[in-house]
Amino acid sequence: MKFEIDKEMDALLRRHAQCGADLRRAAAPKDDVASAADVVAGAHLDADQLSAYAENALPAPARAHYAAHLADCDECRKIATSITLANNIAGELEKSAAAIAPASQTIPASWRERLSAWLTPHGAWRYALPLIALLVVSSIVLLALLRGDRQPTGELAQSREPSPQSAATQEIDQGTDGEAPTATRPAAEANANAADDAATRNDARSGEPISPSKEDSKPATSAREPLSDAAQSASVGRTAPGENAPAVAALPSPAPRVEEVVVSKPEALAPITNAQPARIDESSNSVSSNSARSGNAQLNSDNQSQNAAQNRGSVRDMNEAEPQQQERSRNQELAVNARRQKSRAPAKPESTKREGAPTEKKAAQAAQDKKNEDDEDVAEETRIVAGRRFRRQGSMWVDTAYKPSQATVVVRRGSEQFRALAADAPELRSIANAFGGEVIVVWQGRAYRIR
Amino acid sequence: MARALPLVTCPPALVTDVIASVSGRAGIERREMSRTTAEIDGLVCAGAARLLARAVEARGLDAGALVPRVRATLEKYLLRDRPGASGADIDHFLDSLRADDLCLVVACERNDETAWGALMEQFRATVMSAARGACSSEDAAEELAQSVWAELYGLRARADGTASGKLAYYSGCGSLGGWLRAVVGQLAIDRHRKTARLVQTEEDADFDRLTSEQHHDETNDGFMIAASPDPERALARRETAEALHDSLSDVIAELEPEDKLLIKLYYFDGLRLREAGAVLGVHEATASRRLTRLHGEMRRCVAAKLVSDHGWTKQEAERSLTEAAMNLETDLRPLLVAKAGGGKAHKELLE
Repeated sequence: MKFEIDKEMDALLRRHAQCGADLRRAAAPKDDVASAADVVAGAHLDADQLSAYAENALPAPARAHYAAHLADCDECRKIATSITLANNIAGELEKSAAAIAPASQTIPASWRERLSAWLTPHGAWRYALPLIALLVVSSIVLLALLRGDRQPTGELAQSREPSPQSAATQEIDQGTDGEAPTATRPAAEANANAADDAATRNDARSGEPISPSKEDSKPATSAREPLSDAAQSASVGRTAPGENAPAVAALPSPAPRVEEVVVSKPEALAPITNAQPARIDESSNSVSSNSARSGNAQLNSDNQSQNAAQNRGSVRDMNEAEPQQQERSRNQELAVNARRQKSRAPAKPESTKREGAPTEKKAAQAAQDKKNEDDEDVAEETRIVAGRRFRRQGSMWVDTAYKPSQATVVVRRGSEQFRALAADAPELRSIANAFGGEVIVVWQGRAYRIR
Repeated sequence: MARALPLVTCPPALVTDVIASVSGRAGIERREMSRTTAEIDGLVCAGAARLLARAVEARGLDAGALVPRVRATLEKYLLRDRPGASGADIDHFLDSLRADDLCLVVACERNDETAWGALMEQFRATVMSAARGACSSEDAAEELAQSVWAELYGLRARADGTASGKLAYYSGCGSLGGWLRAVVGQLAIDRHRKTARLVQTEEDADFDRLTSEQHHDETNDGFMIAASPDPERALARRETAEALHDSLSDVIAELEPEDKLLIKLYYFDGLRLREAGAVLGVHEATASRRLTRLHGEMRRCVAAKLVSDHGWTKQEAERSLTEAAMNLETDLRPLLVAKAGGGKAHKELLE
C-alpha cells in the first residue's frame, strides 16, 4: 500500500534534520557535559527500560512515557534503535529458517537431500523405507537361493523321467487290474488332497512374511518335519497309481506343488531330495497294498499318518544308505549356490545352513559394506577451515557437523544478514571466504547455507 | 513515588486486624490502601509462582526468591503509571515476564556457578556482537565485552557481602539478550565519553569551537540554497529560511511523543520506515500512514506559526513553503559549490 507523501514537507524536514544534526555536532562538547550530568541525575533510560521498550514489552502508559524521552534523547534513541534492529535481524533469521525448512523438504537439490528429506522425522518414509529395503534384500537373497536350488531339483526331475519299462508297467497296472485304477484313484486323490492340504499349509506358512526372529526361533527340526511329512504325503499320493517314480513326473498338478514347497523352504530341500528315491519305492508298495486291500480312500487316508511315520523312518534309513555320490553332488551344488549368492564369507557348514542361517545377517552385512564404500567415496575430499571439517558434496562444501535432516538458513554473501552473522562470528566470514561456492556451516546448532 | 509498597509480604489477616483497631476517616483510607497493598502482594506471590512454573529451567529457585524482583518490576513498569491497575492487568503483566531469563539472572545473583556458566555460554556471542557494533576495532570490542562481564559479575560488594553486579537491574520485562545489548551500548557510550574528555586538549577544544561556529553559520542558512547576487533578495531568503527553521522546530517540539519519535527516527536518524516502525512497535504501513498524516498536520501548523509569530500572510506562508521545497529539490548545485568552496566564500556570496 502506497501513501502520498507531501514532498515539500518531506524535503523541508530533511533539510531541517540536516541543520539540526549540524547544530548538534557543533554543540557536541557542551552536550557531553550535559549528558554526563544527565547520567548522574538518572535522566536517561536504564538498560532495562531501553530493552523493554525496544522489545515492545511495556504496558501502554509506560511505553508512552519512554517514547517521550526517546524522542528528545538522541543517546537513548540510538541504543533503543540498535536493540530493535538486532532483534529484527534475529527474528528475520528465525522466519527465514522456518520458511526454508519446508521448502528444503519439498524441493531438495540432490538425491542425497531428497533421500534425507524423506527420512526426516516428518517424512512418511522414515520407518517404511528401512522395512522395504529389508524386504527387498531378503527377497533377493531368497531368489538367489531359489535359483541355486532349482537346478538340482530340475536335474532330479529329469533323472526321474519315466523309463520305457516303468511306463509299460504303469500301462499294465492300469490295463490288467480292472478295479485297481478305480480303487486306487480315489485313494490317490485322497492322498493327493492330503498332500495338497499339507502343501497348502506349507504354502501359507511360506507366504507369511519371513521375519528373522521367527525363522531363527524356529528349531531346525520343527521346520523340517512338517515339510517332510507333506512331501512324503504328496509322494505317497503321487506314487500310488504307478508305484514308481515316473508316475510322479507324469502327474501334472501335484508336482509343481512339491516344487513350491521345496522352493519356499530351501533348507528343507535336502531331506526331501535325499528321501525321494526311498519314498518312491517304499511308499508305493505300502500304498498299493493298502488300496488293493480296501479300495477305500478313507481307510487310506487313515493309514496316511502311519505311512508318514513309516516314511520318516524310511527317510532316516535311506539317509544312512545314501550313496556317497549324491552327497558329493549336493556339496557341489551348495558351493555353486554360495558362489551365486556372492556371499563374501566362505561357504558355511551344512549344519548352519540347515538351521536357517539368517539371510538378513548377510543382507545387513552387504548393506554395511555398501555404506562403508559410499562413506569412503564421500570422505575422499575434506577440508578443515577455522577448526571445522568440511566435506565436498558436488559443488558444495558441507560441514561434517551438519545433519541432512537439519533445516538450513540461506544467507547470501554480502547481504545484511551475512554481515550481521559475520559480525557475530568472524570465523563464518573466513569460512565463506575460504570456499568460493556454496557452503553449509553449522554454527551454534543452526545450519547456514552461505551462497 | 506517592505510595511506597512494602517488598515483604505480610499476612492479610494481620493487616486487617491492625486496621480494624483504627477508627475514623484516616483509618478507613489506610485500610483501603493496606487492602490494596495486600491484594497486590497476593497477586505478586501468585504471579511469581506461575512464573516459576512457566520456566523451563527453574534452577532450584522458589517463588519467594523471585517475589522481590517481580514486585519491583511491577512497581516500575505498571503501578508507577497506573496505580489503580486491575488484578487482571497485573496478572497479564506478570505473565508477560521472561521466566527463564529471570530465573537465570536470579540464580546468578545467588552465585550459582551452573547458572553463571549457562549465562556465559548463552550470551557470550550476544555481548561480543553488541560490542563489535559499538567499537571500531576487534581489540576494543573484546575489551568492552570483558568490561561488561565484569560489570555483570559485580566488582563491588554490598553490605551483606554479596557482589553488586548490574544483573540486579534486570527486571525480566524484556529479553536478557536485549538487556545485555543495551548494557553494552550504554557502557560503550560512557567509555567513549570518558575517552573523548581525556583526549581533548585546550587547543582541540578551541579548534572545535571555531569549527562549530563556522558550521553554525553555514547551517543557519541551510534553507537558502540558491545564492543570489541580489543582496535584498539574499536577505529575504535568509530571513525566510530562519523563520521556517524556527517554525519547524517549534512544531516538531509540540508533536505527540510517538509522532515526534517517528519524525526523529525517520528524518534525524535516517532510519527506513520499516525500521522506524519496528522501533515504534508498529507495521511499516502504519508508520507510513502516520507520516503522511504528520506531513499534512505539520504543514498547517508551520503555516499558522509563520502567520502568527512572524507576521506573514497565509499566502506568503504557503508560497514560501513551496518555494523553499522547490529550491531544495532543483537547485542543489549552488549548495554543493558553496559547501566545497568553504563557509567564507558562501558567506560572501550571500552577503
